[in-house]
Amino acid sequence: MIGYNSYEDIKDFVNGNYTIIEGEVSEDFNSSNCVISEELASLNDLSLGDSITVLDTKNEKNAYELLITGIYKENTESSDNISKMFSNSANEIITNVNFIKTILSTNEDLSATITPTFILNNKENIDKFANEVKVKGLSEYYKVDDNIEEIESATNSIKNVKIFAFNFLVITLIIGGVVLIVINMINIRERKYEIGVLRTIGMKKTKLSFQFMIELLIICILSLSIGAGIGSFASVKVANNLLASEIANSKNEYSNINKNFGRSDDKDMNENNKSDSESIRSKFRVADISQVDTINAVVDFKILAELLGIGILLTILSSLASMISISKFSPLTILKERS
Amino acid sequence: MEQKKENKETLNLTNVSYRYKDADKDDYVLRNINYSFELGKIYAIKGKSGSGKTTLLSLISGLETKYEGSILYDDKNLKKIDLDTYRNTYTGIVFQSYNLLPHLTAVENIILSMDISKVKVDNKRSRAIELMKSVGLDESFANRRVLKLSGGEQQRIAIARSLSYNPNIILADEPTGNLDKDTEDEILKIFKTLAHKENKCVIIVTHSKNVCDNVDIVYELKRKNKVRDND
Repeated sequence: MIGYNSYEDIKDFVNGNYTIIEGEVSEDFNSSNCVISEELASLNDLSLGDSITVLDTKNEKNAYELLITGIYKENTESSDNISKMFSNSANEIITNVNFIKTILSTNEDLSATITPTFILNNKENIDKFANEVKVKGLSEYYKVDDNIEEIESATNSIKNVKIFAFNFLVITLIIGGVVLIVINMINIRERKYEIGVLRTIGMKKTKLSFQFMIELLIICILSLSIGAGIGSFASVKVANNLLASEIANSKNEYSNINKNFGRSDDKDMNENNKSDSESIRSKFRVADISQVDTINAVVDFKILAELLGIGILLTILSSLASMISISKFSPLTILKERS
Repeated sequence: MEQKKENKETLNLTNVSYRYKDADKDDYVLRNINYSFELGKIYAIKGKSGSGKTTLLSLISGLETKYEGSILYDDKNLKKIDLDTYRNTYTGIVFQSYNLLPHLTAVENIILSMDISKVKVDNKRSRAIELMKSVGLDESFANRRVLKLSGGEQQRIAIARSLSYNPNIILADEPTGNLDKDTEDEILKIFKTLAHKENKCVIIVTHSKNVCDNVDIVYELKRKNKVRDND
């Protein structure tokens, strides 16, 4: 017999290992009700609405009535191993913690495994919490476990993506810089005649180099402006589409979980509309966050300025190549080659 | 530096020698050249191919600086002055192959030259059109791409460009080399006007006998560097 005090703790239903085929898992975690497996129901000729009498084997005077509110089927294959016969999930009666506490309160000889789960807002508080519960009287036979490793392994992938994105950016900048230098060199070679003529009629090397740099900077700023404009426009659309897809997935997942618990979408949706996140929180203990279904603006001027800075820096660096070329060109040689 | 001087030496070459970078130690293209050029006269430098005519013009225009001897412009050594300023203020260069910028129009080529020289002109476009008219091109040529002009027309634009900042010296390298006889005569007439009426010093490098017959002084470049006075 297993007792829970929230939907979220009944992992087998959340994960889809169990699915309600008749009735539902009651959201009333205080009354004497339960759900049983399809196998247990058929072998004992039990159906929805029937009651089960639970007897205290050490004191048969203590009998407790449990109302069957739901019958579930197991989606995973149960073990045929005889040694696991008594722990076979088909024998499980799923009820609530209050009922278990009622049984335990009448006979001290009965034992139970209690696994309370606490959700903390911040992982930094785990140690403080462990110390606090010990101070408040947690027996030395109990220990406080956490799932930090599990959470960190999940967030590690995000960290890895961040590192990958940064490395990708650096490589892109290096390759971009090299490409810019090469393009500049080609540009200079193609405009060698123009350089020769301008130098012959007295344009100074510094002025000529500066002119080439200004041309590149204008192209760079124009390209960045166009790119940022298109990017900011497209990114809102793309982000909203991705968000819509995420919301649809989330709703779908939530709907499936609801079905596992034997609850209809309509009923739940109505409740959601009534109290928004409160209803979800009470059942699934998810954090109280406001949901976003549209992103209005993503243009971050700081990032735009950084991009512009990188662009200008790359342009100036790549212009150095053209400046060196210009300083080495002899106008006489260029014009002779042309002739 | 003053821009105008009345028939006084403006360019003076003293013991000018030049050899190519990869040439033998004694293999000089030009050896001990001693020429003088005055304002108000038109000069021709003639010689066979390889005699160093164009090289001499490169030295005078400051495009080549690794020579022996000295070239003085208004008593100032070219090796000691800013050659970009020298080229964009005191000398105008005209090439056989015109060397105009093909993506610009006729008038833009002339204005560009004014921009580089920083000459103070109230209306650069009007001045450019005025210069075009002075070399025999009317306003209808102003907005035409130079590639759409004939050789003679391009050469006139090149001359107009070289005059755009009113230099004292006009250096012309085979300016009529690509042109027919009639056009050559017209171009020569422009150069003569520039020298005799506008007091410029015009130095023309040429093969043409016709050009040599129409200038004031001819310098003939040989390995012995003969000088023939045409006056």
